[in-house]
Amino acid sequence: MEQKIETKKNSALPIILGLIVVVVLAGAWYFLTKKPTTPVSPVKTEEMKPVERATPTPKEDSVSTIDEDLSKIEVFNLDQEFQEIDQDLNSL
Amino acid sequence: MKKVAIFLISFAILSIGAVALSQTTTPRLLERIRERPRISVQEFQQNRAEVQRLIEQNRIEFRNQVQNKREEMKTKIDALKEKLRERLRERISERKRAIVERIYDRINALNERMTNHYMDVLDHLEKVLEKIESRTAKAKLNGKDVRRVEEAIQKAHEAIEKAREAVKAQAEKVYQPPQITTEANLKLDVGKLRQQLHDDLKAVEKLVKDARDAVRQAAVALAQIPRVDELEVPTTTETTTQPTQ
Repeated sequence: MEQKIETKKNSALPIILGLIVVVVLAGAWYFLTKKPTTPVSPVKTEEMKPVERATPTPKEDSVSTIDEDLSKIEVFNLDQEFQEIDQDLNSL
Repeated sequence: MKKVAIFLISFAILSIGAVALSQTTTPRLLERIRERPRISVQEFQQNRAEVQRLIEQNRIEFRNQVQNKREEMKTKIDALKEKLRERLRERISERKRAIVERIYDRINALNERMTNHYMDVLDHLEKVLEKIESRTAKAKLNGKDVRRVEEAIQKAHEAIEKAREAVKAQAEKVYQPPQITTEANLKLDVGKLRQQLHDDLKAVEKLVKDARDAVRQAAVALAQIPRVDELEVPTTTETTTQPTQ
């Protein structure tokens, strides 16, 4: 009789151990899946920079450069240059 | 006797040649490539660099000439100032004396300032004209009709030269102090000197402005050549002998 009970105990042990492993695995799976996920910052895709079109630099003897150079050449206003002399003259 | 004659003749020829060479004429790119229907890019650039170098050299020489003359003038002006001081001391009050002396100083200073400014303007115009010539030369080498531009360039060169001579003469002018009659006439007497400088500078200014207009005309004529900015010195094809197999 005692022998019968012992064999029953021996056969139930692997089942219990298997159940424990299943429960542990299920628990582990539950915690892993339900774990609050930290918000993942969206991967910044590199902003598409507008393609800078290479503006051709005008040649130094081009018509536009020549025009620009000419527009920069100014002749002083002569009457304005005489202002100081005229002020002195008026105080005579 | 014959040897002396030969020596004198050769000396005269050499002297004339030296004088002719020493005359500063504006270096011209178009003249340099006139007889060259084909020119390599490198040669073109070398010619241009040489013309630019000569322009700069002429500019420095011109400035030095004017500067040397001004140095000579300084002692002359100082002597004239002293003369004016004596004249004023005899009949004019101290306050007005100081004003007249200051006006005389300002007259000379303004002449120097304005002639320097006109020289700067002409230097810039010459540089712009060189650029016009460069582009005209490129158009010519590409078979374009550039006669109108060449004429305008010629006129611009002449106008610059004329203005430059006038500026030089003006820069080397020594203004005599005003003739003082009485204190009552002081404004009138000094005013004559002021008017003289004004008229002289106005005449020079007109020539400088004429030169600027002439360069502008050349630029306008150049711009009328279709797609002129796209033209470059045509590349000369080099003939290479291929080894026969």
